[in-house]
Amino acid sequence: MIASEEYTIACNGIKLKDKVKDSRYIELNHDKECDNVNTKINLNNFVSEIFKLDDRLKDLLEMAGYIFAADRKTYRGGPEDLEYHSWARSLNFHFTVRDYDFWTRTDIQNLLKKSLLFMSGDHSYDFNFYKAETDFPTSFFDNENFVMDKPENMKVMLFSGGIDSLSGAIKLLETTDAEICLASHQSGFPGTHTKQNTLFEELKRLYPNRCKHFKYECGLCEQKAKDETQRTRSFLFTSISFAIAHTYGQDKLYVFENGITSLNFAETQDLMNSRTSRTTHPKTIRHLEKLFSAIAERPFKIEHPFLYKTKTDVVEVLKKYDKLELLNNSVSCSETRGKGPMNSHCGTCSQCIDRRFAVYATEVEDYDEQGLYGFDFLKEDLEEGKTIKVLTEYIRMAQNYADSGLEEWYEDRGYELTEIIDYIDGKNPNEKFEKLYDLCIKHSKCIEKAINKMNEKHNPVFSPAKSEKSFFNMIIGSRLYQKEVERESGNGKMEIPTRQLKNLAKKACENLIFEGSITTILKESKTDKTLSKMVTNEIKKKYKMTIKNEKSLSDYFRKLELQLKKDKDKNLIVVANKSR
Amino acid sequence: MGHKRYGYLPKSKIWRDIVDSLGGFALGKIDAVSIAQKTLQNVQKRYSNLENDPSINASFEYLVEVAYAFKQEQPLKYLSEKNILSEKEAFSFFQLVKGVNNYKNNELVSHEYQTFARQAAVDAINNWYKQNIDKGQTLFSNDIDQEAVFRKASNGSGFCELSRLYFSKLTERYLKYFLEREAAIKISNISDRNRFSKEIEKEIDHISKHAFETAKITQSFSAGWYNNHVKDSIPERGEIRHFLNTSFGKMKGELLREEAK
Repeated sequence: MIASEEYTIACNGIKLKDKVKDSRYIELNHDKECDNVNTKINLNNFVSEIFKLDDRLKDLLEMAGYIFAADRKTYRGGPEDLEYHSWARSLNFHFTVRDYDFWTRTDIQNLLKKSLLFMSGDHSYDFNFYKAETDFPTSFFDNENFVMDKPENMKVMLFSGGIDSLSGAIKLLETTDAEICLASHQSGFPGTHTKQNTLFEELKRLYPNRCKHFKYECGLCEQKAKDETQRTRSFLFTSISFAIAHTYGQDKLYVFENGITSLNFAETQDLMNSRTSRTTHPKTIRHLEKLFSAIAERPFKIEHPFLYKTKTDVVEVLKKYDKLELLNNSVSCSETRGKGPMNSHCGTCSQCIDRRFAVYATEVEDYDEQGLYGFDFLKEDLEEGKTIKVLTEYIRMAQNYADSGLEEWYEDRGYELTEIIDYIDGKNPNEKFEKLYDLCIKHSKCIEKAINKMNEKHNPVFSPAKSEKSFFNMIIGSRLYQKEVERESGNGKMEIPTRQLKNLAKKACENLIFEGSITTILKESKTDKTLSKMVTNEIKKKYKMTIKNEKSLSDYFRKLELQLKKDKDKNLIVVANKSR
Repeated sequence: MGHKRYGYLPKSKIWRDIVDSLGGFALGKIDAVSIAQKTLQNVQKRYSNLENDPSINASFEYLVEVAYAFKQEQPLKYLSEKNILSEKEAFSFFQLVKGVNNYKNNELVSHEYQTFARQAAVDAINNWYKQNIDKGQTLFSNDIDQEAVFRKASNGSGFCELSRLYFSKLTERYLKYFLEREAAIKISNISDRNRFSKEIEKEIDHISKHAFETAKITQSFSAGWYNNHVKDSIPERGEIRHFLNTSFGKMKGELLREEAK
């Protein structure tokens, strides 16, 4: 029996005395009146910035903050576990809430659970609510009599400070005359805050009186997270944006993320179950829409305008509107650990790699290579296994898209598509498949273009030879110039591993029976080598056969070390006998 | 946004040997099937125990339900009553594919196994459907009588191929779950890395054909089991587990046969 790890999380002053000795009992507190403050949730500052927030939204933001903190504080198993059963946790939360009657409704709890389960890949979420005492007003305006100004021409969007949200902001600023509210989550990484703030200042300078920036500070404080992953961050992030949008009378918010990252198809089998994040996955977005609509008590929409765009398309937006000078200040890196103090990007995670290919495909790499990266895979030798893996699998996936027709593409990710198709717009499944397939093909073409550009710039034909461990030789080089050619001419076949000839001969013989090429018992002799020749030809499809191999193979059959027989059901079989 | 939690194999010797073998594949010293055999040896107890997992049982039962439904006069009505099909949508193979996700989804012990189970059932239906449409047609051709195609799954041989595909895909995905974690580290050339995955797929498919067809499990067991147990109703869980036990055993036996000698 494999049980998920069960954690009990008591928040904001709640103490569960019967659980205190349980190693999976966690208390999270942000209120300074509690002893043991270990969580930062700066709700008061946030409320002051937008003047007032109703109780239900305060509850939502507080809960989202605690869920995010608990996500980081609970262990999801290690990457070297044999099977990843610990990845799916059972989290049992105890919250105090202001709008007790609302949160204790079964339908609301189900919406909360649905939203969190898919995005996090966890096993279960359970909620226990307790009535909170009335808040003190956070500002002069935080009272029932104050009526919020609700501007008609306003758009609220998530602003992480990455290329996608930056391009999204510019797109809105360039194509509408709306006031743009940027909603950010800021946790414990000063680098990210600085970049977000810098980008906002730049946007404010470029588009005067058009932008506002709301920041919600929240995360674990004075302790290291147990797990680097933070799958529930998107719940927190969208909740912040929703709270702003709803308070300002808006009925929608914007999430800008390219479709390839949103869909995040798994490159390898072990990445299933949300180990490729589902931050802006269409199913995540639809679940959140339902939850927010229930909280708002009116339809609320989450717009996802870049769903059918690649990362390259997103960089193109910056190029089109002549805002490439901002690229340098945007942060795409998904690593929260192990970056040098001088670099905003590790240069080795999937998002850094994706960014580099996108800027090369857009031919704007000169704007991006100004000391941002801790590791430059185009210039340095690939020593770390992880970097080799990320690069190989990233390009392999793009190549597989390029090599597949619609049908093959569908078959390779049939299960993942069942989780998408009902959550995107379109007349019928076939039309939706085609749109998603076209996106993947477009992505593969961008990667091809980027590789050509990288080769042109860093590995021109007459430049000195690169090290064997360079990206150009290790990952793409031999495929492009050597391997396929060798194999086609028959020189690249594998040698037969030592002591494997007999096994291979038996298997090849079984293949021939299975295919119907051998239908009766054939006997090998010095004058009749029909059987060994057939088997040799079968093996030669994949392996190099030496004359010595061919002779040994004939001997196996002649000396009855391998023998054709019929079993009790009269089926032809191959029997391996011990050598005499 | 867009994080990936990459996995690695354990540090123990048996798994480091597998990693070394992956390096051997890149050098042409060992073939993919030998690596698959070694991997299965390392996890053979877990592999055998998959038959006890409720999600594996549920996903296989789903395939039995589909085959049984098309024995009925009104299969779509039957499937709607079972909440497998939505009456709002016109019938298509993709509806049957999607239905896997909702079938007895509370019967869950491990999310990892549940995903293997669902993936394998989805793969099995997709592959089976593709094999049974006319040549020249594609999965997405509009002029296919899809109900008529699925009628072919309602007899012993149709069911047997559906179940073979299920075990083949489940085994393939389970082995890739381990092997793909470090495959690209040792087989960094993209062409070789692709060849490795393709060879694993081909070999497991071949092994499943051998287990189900050449070894006569199909005719004498699989189809027989279906004809005997899926007459007027869906078989009991015990019967399904017995089928799973035999099939996993055959698959494992076939895959490890060479290695044991």
